[in-house]
Amino acid sequence: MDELTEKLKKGEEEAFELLISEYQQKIYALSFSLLGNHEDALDTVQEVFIKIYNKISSFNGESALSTWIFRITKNACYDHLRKSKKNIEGEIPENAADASPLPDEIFQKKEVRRAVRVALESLPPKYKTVLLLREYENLSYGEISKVLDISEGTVKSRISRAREYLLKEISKNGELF
Amino acid sequence: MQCSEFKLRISEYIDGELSEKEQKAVLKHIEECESCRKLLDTYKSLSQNIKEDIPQIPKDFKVILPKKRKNIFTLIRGHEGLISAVAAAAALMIFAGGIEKDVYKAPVMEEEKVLPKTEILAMPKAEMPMEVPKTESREMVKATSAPVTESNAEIPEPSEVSKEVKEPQMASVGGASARILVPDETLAVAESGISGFVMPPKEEFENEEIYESLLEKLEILRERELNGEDVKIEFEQLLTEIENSKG
Repeated sequence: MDELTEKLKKGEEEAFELLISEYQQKIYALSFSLLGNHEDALDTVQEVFIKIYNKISSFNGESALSTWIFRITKNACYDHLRKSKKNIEGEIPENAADASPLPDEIFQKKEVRRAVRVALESLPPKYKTVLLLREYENLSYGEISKVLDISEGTVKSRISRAREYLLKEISKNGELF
Repeated sequence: MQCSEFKLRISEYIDGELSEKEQKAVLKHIEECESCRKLLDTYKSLSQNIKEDIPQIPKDFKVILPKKRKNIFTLIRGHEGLISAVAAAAALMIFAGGIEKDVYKAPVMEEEKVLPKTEILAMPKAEMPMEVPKTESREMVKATSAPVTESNAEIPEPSEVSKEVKEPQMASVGGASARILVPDETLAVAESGISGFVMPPKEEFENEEIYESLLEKLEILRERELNGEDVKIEFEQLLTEIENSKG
């Protein structure tokens, strides 16, 4: 068990300060992207730290602290989504066509940045979660599999399909190119 | 390596998940296949694009943690009409941070009110706020009652409250400001800022062209706001346009 975790379990205030400064941005970014709005994302940040505070005594250190925190975050977000009657288990529509290459320079365009955001918004939650843990947090497939309690094969498949989906969505808007 | 196999490996390659042998096979293939090389570049650019566009938490946001005192947990949730001196006072740990306006985009709250410093108290269930019908505005924030049990330290369920409370409020304890979720902010969406505004779904509009045009205008206003321009009036006008354009 790392030093920070030990201090958290002892209830040391400075340890919680450090935890918050390290993780609030990460939790917010994931939550905002999963939930789609600022208010819910801030609610989730607050909720997650409350849960950490209340449950740290039962955290046994078998997984990394970060794994545990991201898992709490994902669960909190999914709870919000369920309450909003969003479909957590939505699938990416099957499509026979592969993603096509796009000109490099288009990713510099403001319109494409917006198109990526819009496409990301429409990505079903279970694909978005794995992709964001990879892109925002640089977690390995192994680490993501532990956070989400899914196999590495499933992580690999979802990331791959998520990226393919995003590229197809971006390509749909022919005006961008 | 064939193109079909390469396409299966692209994500793993850019995420560093391939073995050394597999990486070499990929590199060899893209040396020989321009189409796959371009596709790889496209995937890399997409990944980079997402990494460069990570939402940023407002710098003035404060996390508030409960502190056990006499077996009562409290949270700062609610608004000044509902918070009252019912249970024993509980102190809160406030973790201070910088107070700055920042990018990704805290709604601009005007006329923020400060709650009395020690008045962060447990709320009995009897004081649950009234329920109100849901609205579509994402700017409505929720009030909750604080759970008053030792064993149940769960975050209280949010509930919707009377529309009568209109002003956002901030708690100030120990000199640091903290965010309180107040019930039913019926502020005009424009007062909350563009950052918190979520465009209604495409299906609600008369046609896709109008939707795209309005979305573009929204993005332009967001950029200008980020650059420090005051775009409130134009945002209000855009909101009117959005409402009028719905099918």
